[in-house]
Amino acid sequence: MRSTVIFIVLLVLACSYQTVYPSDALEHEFEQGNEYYEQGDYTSAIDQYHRVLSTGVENPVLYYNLGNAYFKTGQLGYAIAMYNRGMKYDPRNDDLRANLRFARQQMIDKVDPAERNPIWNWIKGTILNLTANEWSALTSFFFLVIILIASWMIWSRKRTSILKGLLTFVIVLFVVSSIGTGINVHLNFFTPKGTIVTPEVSVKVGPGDDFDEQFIAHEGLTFEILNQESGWYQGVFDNRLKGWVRISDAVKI
Amino acid sequence: MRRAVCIFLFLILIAGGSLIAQDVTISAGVDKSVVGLEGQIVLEITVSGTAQDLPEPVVPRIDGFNVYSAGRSMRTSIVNGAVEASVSYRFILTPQRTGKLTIPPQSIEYKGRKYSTDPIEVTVVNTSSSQSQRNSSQIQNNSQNRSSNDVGTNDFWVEAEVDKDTAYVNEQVTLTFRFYQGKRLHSSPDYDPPSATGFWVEDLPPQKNYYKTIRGRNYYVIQVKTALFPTAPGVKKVGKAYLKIKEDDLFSLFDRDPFGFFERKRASRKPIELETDPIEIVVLPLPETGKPENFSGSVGDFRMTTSIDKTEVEVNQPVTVTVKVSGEGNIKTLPEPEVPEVDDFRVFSSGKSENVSKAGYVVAGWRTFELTFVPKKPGKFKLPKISSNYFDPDKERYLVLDGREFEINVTGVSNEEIAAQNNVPRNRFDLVAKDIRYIVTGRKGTESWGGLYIHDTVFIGINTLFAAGLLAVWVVRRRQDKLEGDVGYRRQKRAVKMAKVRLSESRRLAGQDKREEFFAEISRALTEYVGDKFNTSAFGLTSEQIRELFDEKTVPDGLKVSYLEMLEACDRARFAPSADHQAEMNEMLDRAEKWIVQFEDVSK
Repeated sequence: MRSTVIFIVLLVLACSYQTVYPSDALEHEFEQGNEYYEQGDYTSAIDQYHRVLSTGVENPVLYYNLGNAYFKTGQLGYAIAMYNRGMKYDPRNDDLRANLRFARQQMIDKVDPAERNPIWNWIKGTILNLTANEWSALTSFFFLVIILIASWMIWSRKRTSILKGLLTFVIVLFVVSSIGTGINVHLNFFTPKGTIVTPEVSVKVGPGDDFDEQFIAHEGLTFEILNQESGWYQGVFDNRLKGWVRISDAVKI
Repeated sequence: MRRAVCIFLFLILIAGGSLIAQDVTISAGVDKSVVGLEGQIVLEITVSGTAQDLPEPVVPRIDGFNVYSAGRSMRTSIVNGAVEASVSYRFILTPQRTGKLTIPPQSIEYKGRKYSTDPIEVTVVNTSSSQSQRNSSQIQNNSQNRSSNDVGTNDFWVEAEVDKDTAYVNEQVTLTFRFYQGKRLHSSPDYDPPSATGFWVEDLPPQKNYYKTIRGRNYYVIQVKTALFPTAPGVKKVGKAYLKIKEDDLFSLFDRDPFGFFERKRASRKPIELETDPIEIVVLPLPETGKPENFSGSVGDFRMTTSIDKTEVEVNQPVTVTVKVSGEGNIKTLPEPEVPEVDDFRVFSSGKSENVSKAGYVVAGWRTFELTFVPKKPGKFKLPKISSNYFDPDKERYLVLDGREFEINVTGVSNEEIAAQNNVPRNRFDLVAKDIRYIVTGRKGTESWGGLYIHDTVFIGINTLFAAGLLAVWVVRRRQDKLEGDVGYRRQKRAVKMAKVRLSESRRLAGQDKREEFFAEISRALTEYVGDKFNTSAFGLTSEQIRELFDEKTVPDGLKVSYLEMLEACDRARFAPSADHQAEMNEMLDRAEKWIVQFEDVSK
């Protein structure tokens, strides 16, 4: 019982560890950006938000506001890229979702996603509905429950079928959440993606201007980066078409 | 060009309302009057005048010369309102024999009148020295250039010519390079094409190889063609073309000094560089008369076809119109047709492709453009005609290309109507949203995310602690199980604790100066400690039994002796009085404690 209390105390400490408060100067920069936005000076707002970003802050609200400022200056590709970045850290943010959807409606390209296994699509959607850290915390929680149940069974010498069933159930949840953590981290942090930011881009069959054109893509179109070579990204688009895009025509999410 | 001038002259005549005198003159000149038998001279015949249709001289037949046509050029000048055009025709003359030869008068007929040039005398000498005089050319804008290497005396030479020396911007000018080879080569020639700044260049394969007899000598000719498309008006220069060759001198071994074989052999393998003269091309700007406002810049002869992939479509589903422009001209620079703005549709360019053919050394082919129309609401719609334009240099006028007009039927319901029909605008908010949502203000925007938990040492540490907790529970439980199930083990583990309790009690007795009870308690503590350690009953343990136990457990002699001495001292003290009770008791207590510590160390 005493060890359980220690664990809970440590868990609370761990949660409080995640909160690092910004300096006043940083807060001022962000608020200044918001003021520029309110005044309709979106270009200055973009500069201001980028100043905050340059300090290493990764925050969904910052990306949301920056995406809005880009949208207002007509830079649809950058806006979609910033909304997508924000979604990595807060996938259930209603404002982010709404503005990303609205921005995508303005895109010229309507790419029909290639048909995939609907079960995989559901699993992927569910996994991406939580952040990587939420999955990690969930996994850690199930691990703690396993420890508590197992400890109780050892200490009390009770091996009832209810306890055994409960332990098996929590172990299954732990395994599922571990897999969820792994897939989420892989998709969000180890699968680089890019968004086209130039109004019209000639997607080539090879990494260079001399190669033939594969198709024309427009700003906002997002692709998975497979490779990078001499100033070009090799990307695979939602319809499984592959092509090479000049790095200066895209921004990494 | 000539047609353009004629039209221009005609307009001036009409506008002026008066006829201008139609004087025609003809003149002839050569670039040099003395030429070697292996050399060549250029004869230029110029016809000039104010007439619309200046007559053209026939290719002259000149006794003692082979005559080759070398193109023509045209100049137009306006002096005091009078327009005068002059056309120069060039001919290459290669002598057939030496001596004084006369180029007879060249004549033309115009409106029944005959115009003639003066005869020209040319001296043909039996050397090739006159080749060097070629540079002092009297004729400008010659469109054929020939060079020969001095070493081979016309065994090899190269020439470059263009099919026209006056062209419109973006009109094809074909540059022909020829290499005349009269002897065998040691290795393949190395061709360095001319620089063509101000031109879009397209190679025109295939290379043509053939034999040609010139002055009774058979030459192997290699011909390479290139299409040039001028990009801007003005006088543009095509630079020198170079050809590096290595002559194979094997056949001349026997008619020269046999002792100079190796030296000559080495010399003959030296590369010879042949070069053509640069060529000037007059690039005319496209006429302003009749030029459409949205002129595409295309020059050539083109046709346009349009097709549509479907005419029945649902709202938000794309319809693709394919525009195909084909014909002769610079296909690669054909611009994309303008994307028309259509109400109720989103329109964008979705692809293009091209195919260029160079059959007959003319750049031709087709280019397709795909335009996608996405309807926003249902109904019958006419898509706008796609049109383009180009300039035809042969007809010297601008022409319009028109595509078909397509009618499409759009079915389905627009998003706005769905929202209106359902009368639940709140639930369909995003479908009718006109703008993005507002920014978020406050501190939230600068809170640092902090990185992935799985990379965080605290997170990893906490989970490790969870695992360690389980391990600790298991270890404690196991120890307890052992204590409960094994009396000997329990007594052994509790021996020190029990001994400490008894020694503590002894200390209390010493404090109360109860000497007899103190030594009895010390004796009991020591005996029970040993009993616990060896899991034997302490009750009735004699010194002899203890010694046997110590021997059995291989307790060191020092400890053994010390223990027995302490027991003996306790027995003795209980019955023998002492002067200093307190010091004696403290010493015994201290000794007993030390002995237990030492025994614990040894028995570990």
